[in-house]
Amino acid sequence: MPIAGTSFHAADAANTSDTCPWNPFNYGLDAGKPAAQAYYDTLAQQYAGWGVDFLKVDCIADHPYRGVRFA
Amino acid sequence: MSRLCSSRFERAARKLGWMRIAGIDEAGRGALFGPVVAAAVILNPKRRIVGLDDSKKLTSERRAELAPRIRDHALAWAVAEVDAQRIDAWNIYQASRQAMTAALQGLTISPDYLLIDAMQLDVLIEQKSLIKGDARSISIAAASILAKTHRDTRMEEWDAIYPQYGLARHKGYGTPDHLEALRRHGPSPLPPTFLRSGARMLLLGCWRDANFTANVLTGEDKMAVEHSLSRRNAIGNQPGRNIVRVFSVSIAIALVSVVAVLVVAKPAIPDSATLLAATPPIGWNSWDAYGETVSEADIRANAQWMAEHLKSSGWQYVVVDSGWYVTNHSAGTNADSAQFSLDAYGRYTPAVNTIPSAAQSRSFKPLADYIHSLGLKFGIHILRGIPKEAVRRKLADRRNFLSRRGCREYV
Repeated sequence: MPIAGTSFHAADAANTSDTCPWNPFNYGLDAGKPAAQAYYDTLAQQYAGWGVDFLKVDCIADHPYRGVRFA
Repeated sequence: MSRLCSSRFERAARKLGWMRIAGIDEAGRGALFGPVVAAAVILNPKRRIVGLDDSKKLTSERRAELAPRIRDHALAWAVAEVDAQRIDAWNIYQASRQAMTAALQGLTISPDYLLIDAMQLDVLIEQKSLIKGDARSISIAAASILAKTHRDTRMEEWDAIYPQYGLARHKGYGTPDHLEALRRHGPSPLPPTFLRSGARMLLLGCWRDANFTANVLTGEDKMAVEHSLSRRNAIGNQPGRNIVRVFSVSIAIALVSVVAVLVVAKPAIPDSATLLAATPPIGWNSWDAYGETVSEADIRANAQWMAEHLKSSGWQYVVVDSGWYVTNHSAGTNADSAQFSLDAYGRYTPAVNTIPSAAQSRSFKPLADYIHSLGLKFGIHILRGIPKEAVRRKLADRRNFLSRRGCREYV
């Protein structure tokens, strides 16, 4: 699926080898890819438009450290 | 003992060899609205300022004349404020102390002796606490004038934003017209960094509690005692500290130490984004009682109850936890067979069977608006990453795209 306002697709952003150990819904994002930042930017715009004040972002802290920032 | 405001305490300290004498005082301790503001001033003994006295004894016009002269003539000055949220978290006595300490630390010349209005500070600097010091010591009087004028300016800035409360007139103290405005307009437009718990209690009709708060404030003033520490100055002689005069606005805004007290030498609307929170976010999360089965009606009912019973104690976040975009909850938590509500750009949207008000692409907006109408904040759970479903559908997109362009051979 396209990432809003860009020529990227979801697959350009994803790191398909990075998944959450307890939840199968999402792929992690590849923090080295501009499409990944673009996708999060569109999320931020969407949430701001809804009036969201607070995000509980899950599946971040229970991984072993891997030297790169999770995205 | 003479009760006149003079330089006798400063002269006595100088006779003992102290050179850089700072007066410290606060303003806004008994107010219901807004910050407590503290100022520290090192006067220049060679540049006398006529008319220095307790800011409460001076007219606002007189204070407005004196404040720029103090800033201009002083060897150093700094103003610090602690907002209402922190006053509630710490209590007003500790908040006043923190503001005073922050103002002290904001001085660009390290003082070696402190004259403080009815307070002791936990710093290794020789200090003397004076009851009614603002009416007795010109240094404390100068600090009281800077603190008071700074705070008044701040209240006028808030008044420009929220004119219905009459803040420019009463400066946030519990005058009858102030209390009437609070009852009439309610507190909800005012940010939590501004409204103190005493005002919230008043609005709940807890008059006795509010009076109790006011009594505690006055009592604390009386509790402070004259005291002089005999410890030697520990930071006054640090090498590398510039003995320079502070020109009036060079400090701008600086955060002091981990307590996130705003130190300013120039009035500005407080930037809450630069402050550390006084507490973790406090609120309700749908997971703990409902898991993925929470309904919009449950969320609204809990939010309403929170607004009525817990908001006044600082609860403010209503958070919809995991599963809000899953359309088949019967599949079970975190199931592979889950189906999703997604928009055209691969983003989850609320499942209409869970959040009915999200229909017609309105998403969470109506629910967020409702939560906000209660004076609360709205939060959602997300998982890091991007839906596998959005990635999987790329092939379909590409196939459609290519077929539209007549490129079937690539499909």
